[in-house]
Amino acid sequence: MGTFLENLVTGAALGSIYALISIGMTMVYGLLKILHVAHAGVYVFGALLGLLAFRLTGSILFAFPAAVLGCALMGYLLYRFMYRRVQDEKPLIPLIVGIGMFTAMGDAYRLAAGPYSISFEHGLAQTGIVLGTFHISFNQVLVIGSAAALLVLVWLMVNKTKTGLAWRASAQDREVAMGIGVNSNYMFGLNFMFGSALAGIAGVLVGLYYGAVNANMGEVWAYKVFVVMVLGGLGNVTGTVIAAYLLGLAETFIISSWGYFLPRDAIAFICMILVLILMPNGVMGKRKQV
Amino acid sequence: MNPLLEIRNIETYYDLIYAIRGASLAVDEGSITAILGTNGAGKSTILKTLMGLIEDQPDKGEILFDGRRIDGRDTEAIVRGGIAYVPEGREVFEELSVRENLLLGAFTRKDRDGIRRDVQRVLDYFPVLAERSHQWAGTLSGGEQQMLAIGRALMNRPRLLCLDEPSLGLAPLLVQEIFHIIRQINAEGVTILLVEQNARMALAIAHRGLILENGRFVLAGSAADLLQDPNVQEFYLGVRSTASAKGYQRWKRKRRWR
Repeated sequence: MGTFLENLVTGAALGSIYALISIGMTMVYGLLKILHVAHAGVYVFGALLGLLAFRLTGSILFAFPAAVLGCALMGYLLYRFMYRRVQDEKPLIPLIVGIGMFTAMGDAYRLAAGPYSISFEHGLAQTGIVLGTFHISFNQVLVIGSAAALLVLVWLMVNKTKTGLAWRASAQDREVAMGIGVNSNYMFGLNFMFGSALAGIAGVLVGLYYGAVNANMGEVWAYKVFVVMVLGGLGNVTGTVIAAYLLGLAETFIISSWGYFLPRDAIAFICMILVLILMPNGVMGKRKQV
Repeated sequence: MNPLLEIRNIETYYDLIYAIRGASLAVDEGSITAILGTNGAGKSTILKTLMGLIEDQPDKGEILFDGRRIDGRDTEAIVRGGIAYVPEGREVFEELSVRENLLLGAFTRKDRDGIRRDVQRVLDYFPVLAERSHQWAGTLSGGEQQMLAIGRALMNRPRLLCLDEPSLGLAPLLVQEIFHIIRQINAEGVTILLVEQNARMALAIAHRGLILENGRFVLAGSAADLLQDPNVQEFYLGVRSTASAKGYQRWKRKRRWR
């Protein structure tokens, strides 16, 4: 029983991270039908900025705002000076622009931070809650709790604000939305800022969770986010969140039951292939949403 | 009195197509003006140019609304200035509720209370929409979607309402209902610019009509005059005035207009 609960918590923590990273990319896909590969680069930027702020101030409380502000700015700049210029081209062009940007970002991070893992330990990492054989760490509480709060924020933003309404409308028909006075390009910029800020927070959380940050940490994520997006039914935020948690839990339980018969990421991709064969439209069907 | 909307000799390229080839038009405040023409004449392009929806267009010419230049401005600014647009093909946001569609129509407005009152006003105006205000717009019938598209445009409290083929794909009774609504909106003080293929319906409610062919206006006049014009009767109203000795239409008459 203790193992089951611990797997549940570990899986949920992993799923929380998948969800936070994937939401930004899913929203961009929903709005612009662009596969924003460079999003994983924004996530690494958040982790590095968080680490920098932590080193400078000695408190993890400063890591989060640094990552949020830095990544929101980066997301805006990526949109304004890169995607906005190619958003009306064929989908392959923004995809290749994104891949190029992602590669360049990876190299820039390696130049700035070196190719090795950098420790991101904080004092509370060893603390936690122990109930008999059941153990839950502070980091897990932090990751699951902040993800839950942020997911509520995302839901409110998308469903209860004027900006969210404009996002949903633009996702359905950009030309009509513009025709009735929605300043779509501005809304897309806001969307990039919002999604990038979430990815930045995810970066800091991952750094804290694993106790280390690495300039290469985005490499696998760039592709893994695809898995989550596709499972969630491309462009569907709710589906993406569900898929993120399902994937996190599936990975954890499969590995805990059968061990690493394959590398973790191989398991994720096999999950994706199986789900796509059985449910070609992802876990939420083919409803369109932001 | 100056016209509310004045289009002066605009030329528009749509992609590589020279779509509008020097068109001028004046719409008086309080009137209904109809632009008629066949498929591909450039009717929709005129409205899209007016709304600033075609990037970097018009290529030449000026558009004045209430005496101020609006060509080259962002659509958002044009809409905020008091022009509302109902696109062709009753384009509502199918996966948003009826109420959300209406709220989007007031996107450029900031007065929360006024917006709430106007949602109620539009729902009172279209009782069918009120019954379905929480349903997805995609679940509405064609006529209801057209009413929603018009209601959404009214949410902007426009001085000028531009409608692109509101009769498209609707059953004749619904077309009559939609045109009745348009006339009623006009009676409440909104100036209307209507683009239509259905010349008979459009001229029945319009004060003035213009005929567009190949990107140029070839004929303009009061609705009554146009209804009497033999060329309009023959080519747009389907009244056969004459048949030649050999029994085919004398299509060459059309060329006089160019």
